[in-house]
Amino acid sequence: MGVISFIRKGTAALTVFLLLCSMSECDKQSALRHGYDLDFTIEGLEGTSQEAEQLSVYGKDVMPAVVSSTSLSWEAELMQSVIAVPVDFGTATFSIRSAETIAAGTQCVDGQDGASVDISLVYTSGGTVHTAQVEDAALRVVLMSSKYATGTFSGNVTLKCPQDPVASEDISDGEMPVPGTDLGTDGAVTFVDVPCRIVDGFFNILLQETL
Amino acid sequence: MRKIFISIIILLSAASLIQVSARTKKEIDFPERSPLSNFGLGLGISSEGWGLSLSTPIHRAVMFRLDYNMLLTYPHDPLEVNVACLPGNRAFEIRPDFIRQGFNSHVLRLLFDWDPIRQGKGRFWLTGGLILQNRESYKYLEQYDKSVFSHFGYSGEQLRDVSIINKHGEIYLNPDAQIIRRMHRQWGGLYLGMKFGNPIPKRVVGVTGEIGVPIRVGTVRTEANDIVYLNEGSLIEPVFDSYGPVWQVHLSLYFSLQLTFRLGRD
Repeated sequence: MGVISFIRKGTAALTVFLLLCSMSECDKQSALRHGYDLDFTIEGLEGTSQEAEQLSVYGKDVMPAVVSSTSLSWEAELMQSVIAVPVDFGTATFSIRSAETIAAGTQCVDGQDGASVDISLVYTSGGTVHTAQVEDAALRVVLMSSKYATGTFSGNVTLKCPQDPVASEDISDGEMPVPGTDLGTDGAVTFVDVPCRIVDGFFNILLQETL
Repeated sequence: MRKIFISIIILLSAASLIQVSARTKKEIDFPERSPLSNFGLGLGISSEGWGLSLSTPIHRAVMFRLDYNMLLTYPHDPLEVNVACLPGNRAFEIRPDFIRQGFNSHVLRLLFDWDPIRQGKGRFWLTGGLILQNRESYKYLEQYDKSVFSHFGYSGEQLRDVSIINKHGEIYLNPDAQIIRRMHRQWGGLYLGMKFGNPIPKRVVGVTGEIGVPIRVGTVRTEANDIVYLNEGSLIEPVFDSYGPVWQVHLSLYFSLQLTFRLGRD
C-alpha cells in the first residue's frame, strides 16, 4: 500500500512539474505572440500636429522574412499610436543586403562596406498615397536563430504633409478630423516636405522555414 | 507510513528482547563504558549526503554523538531558449550564456543515543536530538549577454525593467543581466530515530545503520533577484499572520549507513 501511495504521489508530482513546464512554455509563446514584431518612433512631425510629438508606429501584420545567407527581406502592415496626424502609415518594406553572411551582430549601414538597407514606407497624406524611401538607413541584427532575427534600425525619412496642419480647435469642435483632407483655397492640397527621423526601431521577425 | 514505522520499532524491540535471553559469553564481555571512556568515529552515506560522526559515552547506556552530513551537487541544466520582454511590448527569444546551480547542504546533528534495554550492550539504540543546518542551501544563476540588451537601450539599473520568461516563470533581470534564485530552508529542528549497531563498535571496526524522522521547523522561501516569490508548502503550518505562515513544520525520512571505528581501547 505504501509503495502504491508513493508511486501515486510521484506521478502527481511529475504531472504538476510537467504542467508547470508547459505553462511556462505557454507564457513564452503568449509573450512572443502579443509582443510587437516591428515598431519604431517617428520624430520631426511636431510642427504638423500637436499629437504627433512622438508618433509610434507598429507592425500589425508582419510577414515572415525571406532570408538567404547575405540578404533579409520582409514586409509589414503598419498601424500607429495616434490617428489624428497628417500621415497614415500603410506598409513598410525592408530589404537588407550584406557583403558578409547575416548573423547575430551583423550591422548594415546603407552604402557602406557593400551593404544596402532599403526601407520604404507607404503612407497616405492629404488623400494621396505616397512612398518614402528611408535615407541613411542602418540596421543591426542583434540576435539570430533558425526561427527569428531580432534587431534594431534607424534612419531619416522625408514625409510629404499637407501645408495646413489640422488645427487643434477643430478637434475641440467635436468633429474628428480626417488626416490630410484639408484643402487649399483652390481645392488642391499643397504638400510640404517634412524631414523626420526614425528612431528606436525594433524588429523580431519570424524567418521562413525554406532556409 | 506511521504504521510501518511503529511496526519496525516493535519488531526491533522484540528482537533485542529475544537476544537478551540468548546471551553468549562474548556478549557478556562487552565493555561497560563510562563517561568519555572511549570515542567512536563513523564514516558513511545517508539520505542527506556524506556523513561523518563522532561518538562518546556520557553514561553507560547513553552516547553523545556529533553527526555531520554534507551534500554538494552541481546539477547540469540545459540552456533552454527563453523569452525576454522589454518595456513597450517587445519580446524576443534569447538563450542564457550559462547556468550555474548548486545545492549545498550542511547538516549538523547533536544527538543522544540511548540503549534502554541492554544498557549500552545492545544493537538497537533510540536516538534523539537537535538538527542545525545552513539556510541558503540552493543557488541558481542564469547569466545573459549584457551587450544584447544594451543594443536595445537597456543597461545597468535599466535592466530591472527587462523580464525573462524561463521555466520558473517571469523574473526581472538584475543590473548584471542575471537571474539569481536562492532557496532559504529552515534553520533546523528536532530529530527522532533508531540506530542499529553500537555507535562505538565492540571491535575496532563495525557497521551501523540508522532510520529516523527529522522534524524541521521554520520557513522555506525562494528568492529570485531579491524578490521573495513563494513559500514552499509544508505538512503543518501552525502559526499564521497577515503575511502568511511565520513558521512551518516539515517531516521527512532519514536513512544512513556508516562504517564505525573504535578510537580507543576499552
